Amino acid sequence: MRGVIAGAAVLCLLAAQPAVAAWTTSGQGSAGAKGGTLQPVVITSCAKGTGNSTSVTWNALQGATSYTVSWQQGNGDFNKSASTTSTAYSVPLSIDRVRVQASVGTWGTTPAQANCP
Amino acid sequence: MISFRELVRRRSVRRGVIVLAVATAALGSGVAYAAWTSSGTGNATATAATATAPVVTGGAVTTGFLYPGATGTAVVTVRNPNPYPVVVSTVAPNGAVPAVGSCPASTVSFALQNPNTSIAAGATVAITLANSVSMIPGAVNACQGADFSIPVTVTIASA
Repeated sequence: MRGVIAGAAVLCLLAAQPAVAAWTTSGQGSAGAKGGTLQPVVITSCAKGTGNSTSVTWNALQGATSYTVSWQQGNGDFNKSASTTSTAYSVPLSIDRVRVQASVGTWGTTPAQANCP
Repeated sequence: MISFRELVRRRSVRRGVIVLAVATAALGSGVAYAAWTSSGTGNATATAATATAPVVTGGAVTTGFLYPGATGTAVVTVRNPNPYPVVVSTVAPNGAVPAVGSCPASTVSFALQNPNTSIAAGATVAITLANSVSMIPGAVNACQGADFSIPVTVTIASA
């Protein structure tokens, strides 16, 4: 009996709680967002190693997800290339010039070029 | 000749009568101090204020720029014109993001946010919403550096 009374008292207390409802209202307008830009690649080094290899490094670009490295031997074309997500690449040849282009999605930079002494 | 017992009984009765008389006098004098009272009915009036909509404008974005296939940051500036503090409960998309120059409409989209940012009465706050906006993977080159104006609906609630 005592338990029933206590339970009823608790229910009464819960039922007696005042409704708490915040005032709400809405407004329309705009938020701002900005598209990024791909800056040109800066090649930091291109050095021939021992044997037939050349190491190329460049600075990371904000937003870039991949880099395309192409190279030239003598006065030939830049007709060989490789793709990497890193900021370094080892060309398995002794090359004379290198180009590096950054890209993300359909965006791409103008290739940066450096000589490889 | 009155017996001793009878004498004690009479004194006791007399004492009781005196106590009763004093009590009655005290109660009676209480009535004398009471003020005249009366009552009437009527209505007091009070008018509840109404909630005023927030003023929403875009904010300057300095970090979290958008790149194809990635998310970025949106900034919305909200002014609370009400005389009470509020909380920004939601920032919801309100239609397609319009084109910017040669960057087509809907290249960028905005996702519903629940910032729960507090704003004092009459104050203005710039809310930074990281990873709230995304750019499609096939965004054209013309979208580089574009300033997007994202239509939003901001809901505030009394704090």
